[in-house]
Amino acid sequence: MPIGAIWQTFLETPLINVMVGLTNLAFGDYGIALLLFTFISRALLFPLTIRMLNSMKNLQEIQPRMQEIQKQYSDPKRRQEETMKLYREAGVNPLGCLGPQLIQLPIFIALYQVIRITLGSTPESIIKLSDRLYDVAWLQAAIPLSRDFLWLDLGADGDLFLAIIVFCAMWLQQRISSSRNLSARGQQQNQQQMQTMMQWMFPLMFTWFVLATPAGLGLYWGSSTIIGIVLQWIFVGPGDFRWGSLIPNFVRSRIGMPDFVPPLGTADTDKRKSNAESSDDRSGLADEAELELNDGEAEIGSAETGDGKRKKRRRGSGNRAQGTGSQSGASKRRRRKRR
Amino acid sequence: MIQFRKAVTVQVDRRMSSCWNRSVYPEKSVFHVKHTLLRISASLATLFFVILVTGCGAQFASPEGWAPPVEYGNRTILLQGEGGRLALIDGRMKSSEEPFWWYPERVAEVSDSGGGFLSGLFGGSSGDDWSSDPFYARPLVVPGDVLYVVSTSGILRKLSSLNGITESPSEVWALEIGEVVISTPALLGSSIFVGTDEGSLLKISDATGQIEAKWDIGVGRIWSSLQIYNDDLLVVDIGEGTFMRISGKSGEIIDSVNLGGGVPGDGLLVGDSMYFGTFGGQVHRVNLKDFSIDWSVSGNGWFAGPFVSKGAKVYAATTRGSVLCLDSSTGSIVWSKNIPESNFRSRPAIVGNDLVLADREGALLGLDADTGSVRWTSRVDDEVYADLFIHEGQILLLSKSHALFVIDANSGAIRTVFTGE
Repeated sequence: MPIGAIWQTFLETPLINVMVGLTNLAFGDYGIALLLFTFISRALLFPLTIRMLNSMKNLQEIQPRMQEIQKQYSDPKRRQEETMKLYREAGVNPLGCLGPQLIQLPIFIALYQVIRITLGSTPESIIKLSDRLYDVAWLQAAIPLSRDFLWLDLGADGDLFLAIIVFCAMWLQQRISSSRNLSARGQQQNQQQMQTMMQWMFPLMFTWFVLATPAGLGLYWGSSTIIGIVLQWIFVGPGDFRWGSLIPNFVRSRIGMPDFVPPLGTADTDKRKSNAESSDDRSGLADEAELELNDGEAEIGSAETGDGKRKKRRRGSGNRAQGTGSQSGASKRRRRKRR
Repeated sequence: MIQFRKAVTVQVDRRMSSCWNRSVYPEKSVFHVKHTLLRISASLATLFFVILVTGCGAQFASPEGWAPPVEYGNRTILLQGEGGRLALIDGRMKSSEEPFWWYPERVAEVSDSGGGFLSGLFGGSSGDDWSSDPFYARPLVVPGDVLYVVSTSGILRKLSSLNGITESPSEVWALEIGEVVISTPALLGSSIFVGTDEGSLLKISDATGQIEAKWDIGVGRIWSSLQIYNDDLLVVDIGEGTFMRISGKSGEIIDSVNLGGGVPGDGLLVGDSMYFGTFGGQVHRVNLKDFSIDWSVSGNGWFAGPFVSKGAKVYAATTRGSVLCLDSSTGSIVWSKNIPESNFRSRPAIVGNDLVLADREGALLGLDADTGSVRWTSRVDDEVYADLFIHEGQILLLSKSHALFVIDANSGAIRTVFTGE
């Protein structure tokens, strides 16, 4: 069986029938059918999503220990083994994040085709749809499907307002995700830059997709992203993200609002003090990078405090204390060396 | 919420931890490059997506138009020889016909009716492209020298052919309606009426080409041809299947009846009765005197194309290969035949006692009109959407790629008379 036929028989055609059936259930509203489909697909992917979110959370928690391993072992092989061991102990699956995304991808592509076929951009395509529907009178009678939902023509490309919504939702999701990664210990400056780039690149890329594909696909992706944000917020928390941080300080000062200052935890305050000491005699780029790293730690500390997760904060503080200790030690060693 | 979160997390962790530990940690793996891996995967996935989307876009080609050929006069046939272009050919049907003329002489520039400004990348036109603007609506030929054509993008033209068949017609006026048009317009008095894919009904002055009135008649898309009955318009929509009688003067809805399913094909007007087929798989006969449904019959599949009648019988075919012969007065099924793997969109044709049907994939079928027994089968190597057309006792078939075939109704023999541009 050629791959095209497999694709059609096992994914595209069932999805066409599912969408037509859902539209029937939604009283002929294709937009509501798409939203229903989004909820159903997210519900089916829920175990994988939870796994991904847990993995993300655990990875965040073991970052201090990974930092220690990086410093402790100079042999790459040994370092690798220790890292693997740490992953195993912590129950972290580094590939876990890929699951939901990879599964969603074929759904996304198939849905693009399904929307094109079911909403029929040409009269011929509506006639061809007859071949793809199962021999169920209830499904057959649902045609033609309505293309209108809210302000959208779901079959037409290039809805700008929808693209803006999708961009904002994706940017927010990336912002929440990358906030914990940015602040994680052990991140190099170039990695942080990469994260920042990704925070903009992914939303921009998908915004382009939404503009270039039928609005129905944008509706699916937008709603799926919003559900993803909600799940992430519930099961992992917002990290160091605060709604107030969306307004830059220069805008705040212009409109008369006080500057946004992320709240700090006790351990972070200590670290800040330590940084202040070490910054007295810093002279090179390396020290500046270190300072940025510590600033990041301060952010993550504040996020956890903000979440009110006492138990985790205690554990996190312990880890941070170790990390701070070793970093302070390294700073002292560097200072001695310079003297 | 916290309790729920913990409970779910624990459950999922328990179920999955065993399989993770078995499969996820090969000793030599370099999992600490997770973020790099993620980025690579995301990039590959994106590339895959772009390739698929652009590749898939190709199969959603521009509309082709299924306007059937029409008689033009002087034994000539007017057909869509190319998407958006009319060709006039000799009706004597010699092989390899060269058209007398093409109209327009080259493809018109049209704006993109499909939507987005990036749709050019996905198989559509981008608005700045030279693109075909095909005809779904049948050209209206008024005996004498006038011709009305309306393209899919909604450009209605009145053409005059004072020089007969020797020169291509000249444009009297053109009107950009601004809405997609699939339905064949109707000429009533001194006005042209056009139903659009957005459910509007327009009244256009025949003399000036100006819009005299635009009525939103409260139904969905109109695909079925507008018809005239006692100086009123008969309109049916493809969404709900609301069949209406509308005053051509005021746009007032005089009568209406719901057919319980959208009507994609043209209705068949015979005397005071109108026959319709719906997406819901039903054939209805509506009495135009009181707008009541005389009878309804169910079939298997959509009745997407128009019907044909002969004497007291009505013939209808569905997209699932079901062919019905109905008694027009009672609606009883005289005979029915199921042709597996067939999808009929085009209107059948009857010559003598032969009922000829063309499947969408190009399979042709000759049936005995009285009994339904298969007399012959044949095939053209192209898709068929346009209605079969009878000219001087011969059946003409215009394929999707605008080739014109003559079919011998007795034997099924096929002869190509025009191959398109």
